[in-house]
Amino acid sequence: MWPLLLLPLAAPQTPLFQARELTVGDAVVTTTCGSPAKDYILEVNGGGLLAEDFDGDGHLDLVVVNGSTIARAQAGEPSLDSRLLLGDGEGFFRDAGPRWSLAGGTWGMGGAVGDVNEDGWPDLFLTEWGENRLFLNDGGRGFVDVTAGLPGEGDVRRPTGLAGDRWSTSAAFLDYDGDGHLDLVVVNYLAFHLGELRGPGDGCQWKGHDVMCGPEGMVPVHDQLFRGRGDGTFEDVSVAAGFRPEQACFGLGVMTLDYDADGDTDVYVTNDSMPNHLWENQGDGTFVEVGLRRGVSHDSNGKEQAGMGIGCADVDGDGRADLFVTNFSGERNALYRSSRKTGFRERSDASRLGGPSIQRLGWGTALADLDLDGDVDAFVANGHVYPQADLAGTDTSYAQQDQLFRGDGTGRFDEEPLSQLGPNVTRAAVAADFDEDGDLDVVMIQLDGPVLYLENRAPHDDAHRWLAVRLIGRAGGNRFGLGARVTLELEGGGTRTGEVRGTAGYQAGQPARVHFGLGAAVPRAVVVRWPSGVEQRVEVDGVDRTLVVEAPPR
Amino acid sequence: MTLALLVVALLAAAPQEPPPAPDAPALHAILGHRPDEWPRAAPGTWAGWSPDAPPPEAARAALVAAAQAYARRDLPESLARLYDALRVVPDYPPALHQAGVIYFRLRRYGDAITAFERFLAVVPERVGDTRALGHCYYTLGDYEKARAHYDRVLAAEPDSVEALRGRGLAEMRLGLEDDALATLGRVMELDPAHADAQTWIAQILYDAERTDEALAAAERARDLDPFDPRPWYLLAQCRWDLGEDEAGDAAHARFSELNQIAQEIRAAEARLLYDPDQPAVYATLIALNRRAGDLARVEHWMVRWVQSNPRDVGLRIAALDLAEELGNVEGARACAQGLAALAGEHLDAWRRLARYYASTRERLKQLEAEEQVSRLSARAGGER
Repeated sequence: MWPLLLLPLAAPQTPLFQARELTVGDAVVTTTCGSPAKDYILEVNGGGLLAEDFDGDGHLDLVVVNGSTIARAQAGEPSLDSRLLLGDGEGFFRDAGPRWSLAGGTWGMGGAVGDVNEDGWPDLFLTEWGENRLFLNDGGRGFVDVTAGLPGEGDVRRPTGLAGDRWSTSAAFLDYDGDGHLDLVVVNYLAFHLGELRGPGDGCQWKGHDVMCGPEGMVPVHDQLFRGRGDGTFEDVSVAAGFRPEQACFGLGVMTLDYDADGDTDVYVTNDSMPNHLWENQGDGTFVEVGLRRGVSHDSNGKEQAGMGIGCADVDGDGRADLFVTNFSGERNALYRSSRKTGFRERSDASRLGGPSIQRLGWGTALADLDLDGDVDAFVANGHVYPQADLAGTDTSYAQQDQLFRGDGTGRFDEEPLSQLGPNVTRAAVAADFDEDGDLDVVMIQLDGPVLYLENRAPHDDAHRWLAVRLIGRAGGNRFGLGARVTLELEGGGTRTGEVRGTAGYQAGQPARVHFGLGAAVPRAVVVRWPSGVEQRVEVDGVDRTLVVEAPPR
Repeated sequence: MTLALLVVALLAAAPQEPPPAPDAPALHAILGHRPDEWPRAAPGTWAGWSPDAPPPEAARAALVAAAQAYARRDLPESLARLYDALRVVPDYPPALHQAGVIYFRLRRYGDAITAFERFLAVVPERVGDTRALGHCYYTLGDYEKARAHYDRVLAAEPDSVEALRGRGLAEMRLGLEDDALATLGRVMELDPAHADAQTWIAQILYDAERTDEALAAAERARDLDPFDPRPWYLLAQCRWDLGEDEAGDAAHARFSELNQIAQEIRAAEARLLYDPDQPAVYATLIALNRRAGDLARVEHWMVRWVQSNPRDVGLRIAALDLAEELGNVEGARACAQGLAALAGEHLDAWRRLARYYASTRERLKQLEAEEQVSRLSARAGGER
């Protein structure tokens, strides 16, 4: 192994995050994704994480999506149980009990959270290798598995329209057509069949070592766009809406954003070893893929990369969303900064996010003000896909240090270790304020090990203020304001912007709210541009709080 | 005398008949080793070392074998013999350096850094020979270290185009765009045909949203190397930025075509790094470069193929065919000379030479070749 990787990064101070194993009572929460040998590509993605307040007690809860093993799958056994853990608002969790059971499934990956039946409660969609699953929230009392269909008349079930048997990785709810009903993007990876297993020794090599096969040489599967009817049922409109590239790609991550600030929601999808896609919403119910033209499909040399996680925020304060994509070892994680011209420019190295990522393989990430100093930061969960990365001559390693990049507000970042932990193998991650102290904590999937809870230890003083904004849409519609743009006006001028979204990029979902670190800035007002186009201005009379904004009456 | 020359000198002194190639498992075995297992010499052992000094006798056989393998482009075997040399004569500077070069070519940058840093620790005055160390730092993302190292190299060799290019790229990666433009501009002064530096100039200008200037720079880069996909990518982006969709689409179409070929070429070249004796790969590389229209690279790979098996008459004939097809008169002449030297009792070789000499109107040689064809044909008939 390249010995530098074994050494923790030089840390000028105590790491911002204090990591511990996620526990329920005395039991450590773990996930499984195949065998440690990682002989097959199905075994390397890890599980997923979805954060939201499912039981309505005001505290964030956490869904931990679990996988399976090849042996279980071959035996036709269900996956290991995914779980809902109910948060106590202090960073600790308890088991939700049998009413919230998520048992079953084939091999869980990630998912999305949204109110698909418009009853005011967050429902749960889980992505799987195999059939994806939909759970309705029964008024905060438990989940009802409606994968096989919604209750209909008599014994007849109404199909959800989400049925399928693909390998889905990430998903995102959005209202792409502005009808007030939540729609769904499902990102699919590749065709993987147990009858055609190809592992090390089957001719697949990396840097002279035998490794598992894929994704090269395998068959990619098209992503899907489902139009929601507001009653928990959906229609696959992928083709009709133009959400269909010429060539299917190995999809891994998804982000919703209004990149062109035209008021509708666009979609960005990262693809493994293939060009990433930026789906520009035309405002008429259709999409056009513009990733290449907008400079977010390749690196700046025109090379396809292995896109995994996605962060999205305005890192340089120009009012436009920037994108951050984690990539494979030997590639740079890519910061695509919005341009004054027609799209984005890749500024990975100038931002100092690129170089420190070359020997690492990044997964879960987020762009957010993690240290509350008023500037957007980034974290990256790292770990290789090949255990063989520890062999000679790879210039990387299997276990890797997770990274924190502190932003300075100009689009430049400085690297630090994310927590006190040394190298490990992490995957999906979600940032949310689980302990309700105003800073964003992080939960990470550790491959085949304990889920990690990273408590944010940011200072809380006059130079480290925050404000969170939570939206409540009109009853019966997009209840959490997905796609709304929130602009924070500051005393003395200046603004901060954010968008309400539920996706956290790679196999993860975040709470549908906008979090602003303020530093010493004082907010004056919040301007919400609702998905309907209606703008609403709300005076802000304090900081270090969550501002709840209800949609104005029609 | 540079270290590369030392290798050449060793090779020249070596017996001309190459030793039999080692079997495959041995090649793989050395790739499982790491340079940190090399023993260390006592401090000061190599103080005052001069590249003109003859190699230590104890390591001479291993060094000759390493040089021969390197000449055959058998990098793993060459590396294995350098390991042998360094076990016998720890920290022998040319062996350290050459191991660094091989690791660099094998794209094992961390190991190359270990080798080059050991070399510099032993003979710090030879910093000018370690430009590749800067490339290694750069490739692994340590741009500060890369820039600092290039500065050291440039202090010794101020007009090193390679080091200037490296420093320019490191500056670009560090966000020092103005410095990078100045440094790469200096590269272009020293080597006006440096297509790669010109492409990076275009890239920096594009990133700075100076689209008109970027377009002009990318066009110049494309003219310098029409077969590199990157200028075409930049041209497409610039054209689209300027609202010239049709021109952007056309540039992108050419980029896609070249990029696809470039990917296949990279994959084929990577296979040769670990095993140079793969005729099918050379054939693939020639075909790919023909597809791109890059005739210079076609010839390059034909020469490499011939070098990989210099006594193969069939290959020599193919090389002559290719040179004539490409209209390369000098190349064809050289191929014919090489073929004539090997023709001996090969009927096909003389037939091909007779045709060649007829085309060049070298009557005496043509007659001689035709006599050989008659003689060998008669003998073949008699044998039947």
